[in-house]
Amino acid sequence: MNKSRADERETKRLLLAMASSARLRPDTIGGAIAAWEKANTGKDAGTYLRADGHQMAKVSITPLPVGSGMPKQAMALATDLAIDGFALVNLLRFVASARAMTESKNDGERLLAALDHDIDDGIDGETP
Amino acid sequence: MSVDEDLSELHARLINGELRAASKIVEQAILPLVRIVSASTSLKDRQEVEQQCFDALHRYLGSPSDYQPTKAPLLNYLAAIAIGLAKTAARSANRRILRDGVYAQLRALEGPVEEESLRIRVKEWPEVRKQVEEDLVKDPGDAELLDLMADGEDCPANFAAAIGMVGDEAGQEEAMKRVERMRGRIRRLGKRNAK
Repeated sequence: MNKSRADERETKRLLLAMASSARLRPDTIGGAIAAWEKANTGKDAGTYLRADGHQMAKVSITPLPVGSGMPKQAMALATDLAIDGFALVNLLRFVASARAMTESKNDGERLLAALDHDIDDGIDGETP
Repeated sequence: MSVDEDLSELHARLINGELRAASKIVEQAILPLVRIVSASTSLKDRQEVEQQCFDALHRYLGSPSDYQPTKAPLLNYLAAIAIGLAKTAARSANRRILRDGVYAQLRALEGPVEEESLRIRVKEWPEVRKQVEEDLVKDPGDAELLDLMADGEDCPANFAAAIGMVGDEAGQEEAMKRVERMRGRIRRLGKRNAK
């Protein structure tokens, strides 16, 4: 379908606006990015993922991949969007571990969540 | 290929676990969806209409298997969700207005509330500010925009930064559209107060 330039600009604006709303939703990658930025004060997720504003918008509105298939799905997504796949996987693992720790009911569960995170990603979730 | 055919194919890819299809669906559907919902609801606030469309898309993307392709095109399905959300939002807003009696209190102010005078009043009367904010602040970032407007800010880059948008042309354009919508809400508030 051919879109006019005005429609393309409007679509891009709406995409950015929707990405902004996605940051409030924990079931989106945007929500994970917001959580990562909150935990890593001063760091910019766009720089970390090597993504510009438009790429960030597209990745942000994407549903959060979960479970054992997460790394493969995240890598495929990153490849399609031409952003850093390892950084995306690490970011998502970091947030999954942080959420598991927050939601855990006792110290034992918290310790296991923390150990999972350390083994997978390194202490601060940076790319190894 | 029509929009419906494009969306049908992208839906099948999303169901098969291809995450990249999500943002492609949004790119295809968002503009026609906003137009359909704008024409089909009583919501006057464009930003609220857009938010209902975003919520409908998020709801679908979070559970794409709820959509049955044999029953209706995806765009119709999304529009039905968004229009339902918009109606709920409109009813909720009406109930809030009746409950709080905010306009009755605003009528105590002299004359119509213009943007300039509202600026001063919003700053000077914390209780009214709190109630006015309920009508003006609808999304994340709106409070920051209102504060900047009250301070007389007019730089698009500063508005963009206040709502966490990237500072490029598209980010500034989105920020200024939100500022315009805020002005529209203030004008509508003033008109209702003048009646």
